[in-house]
Amino acid sequence: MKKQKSLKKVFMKSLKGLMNSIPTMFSVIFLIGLIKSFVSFDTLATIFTQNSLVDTTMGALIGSILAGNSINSYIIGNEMLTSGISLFAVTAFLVSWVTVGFVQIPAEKELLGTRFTATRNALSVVLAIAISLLTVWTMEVIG
Amino acid sequence: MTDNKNNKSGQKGSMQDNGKNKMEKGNMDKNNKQEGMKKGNPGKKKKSLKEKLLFPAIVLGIYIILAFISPGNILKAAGYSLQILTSVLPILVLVLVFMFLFNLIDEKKLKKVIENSPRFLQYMVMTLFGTFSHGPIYAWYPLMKEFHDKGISYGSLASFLYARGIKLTLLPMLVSYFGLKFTIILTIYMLVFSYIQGILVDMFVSKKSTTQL
Repeated sequence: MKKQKSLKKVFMKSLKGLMNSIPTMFSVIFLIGLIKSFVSFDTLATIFTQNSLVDTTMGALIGSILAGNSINSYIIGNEMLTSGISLFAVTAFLVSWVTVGFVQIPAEKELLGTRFTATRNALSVVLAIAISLLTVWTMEVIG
Repeated sequence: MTDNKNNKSGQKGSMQDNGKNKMEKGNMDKNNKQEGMKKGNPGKKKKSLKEKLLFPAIVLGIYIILAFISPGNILKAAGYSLQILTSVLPILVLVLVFMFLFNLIDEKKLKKVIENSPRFLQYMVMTLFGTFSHGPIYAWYPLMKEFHDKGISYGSLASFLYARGIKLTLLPMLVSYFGLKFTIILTIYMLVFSYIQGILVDMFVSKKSTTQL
């Protein structure tokens, strides 16, 4: 009986913890919907140059702004490749899409703190660029 | 006279008691602060309802304004959002289960285990855990908060969140779009950099963390 009561207490604590994050989480989802319907991916493709470092940085930044299912990033990334954008930019775009979340910053900040959120996201952008450069260079070395 | 004396000594006694109480209170505050530090929440205060609803209110405001400018796009945006919401809800149930299971763990025992386990092991476990997690990143924030409250370092949380970038279920799709070689190299780098991300975040954020590298 006592055990059941404490299990209920633990469950309620967990539920409360989750419910506290719901308003911000749902707001983030509605913000993603807004970006998706207002920003055209075709116009984004025109931003890229042929400089690999600049393109990698651009790819990382665009991937950081956009969010959603990873499948979408693969489709967009593939479209970017076919339209002549470098693999450096596409890789950075793919990595930052899943690791950085500019749109989700309010939710992350609220639950995990400003310092952690700022540091993690800033580092993730830098690391996305590093991963992109290393991946493409490794591919070139392996052949 | 004796009564007065008694009263005086009583007053003196109560003054001493007050002083003692103040000191005890001071010590308690100190202890509470230390406890808060141990829990990883130094000086953290609860957010008011007004603060919590500020961001949702801003998003709602943007929707209302844009509804007048471009009603078609707003309908599309709401449609997208509802689509995402329905896909996120099952993941939230999973997160709730994880949170429940995690809350069942004895906090003191866990803290002891964490304190005694090397940091590199924490990064590795969290990286592995992150690789197997599903759904959007924000669905996992409540569980990450729970982890941190129980003493897991910020770096380990960062390792988990970074490793989430590796989508095991979507690997066949990544191979079909970008090739096997690209997928293997990218996945290996993502794993390595999840670990590095943990180290870097702990270097910059968790200087007062409880565990040692």
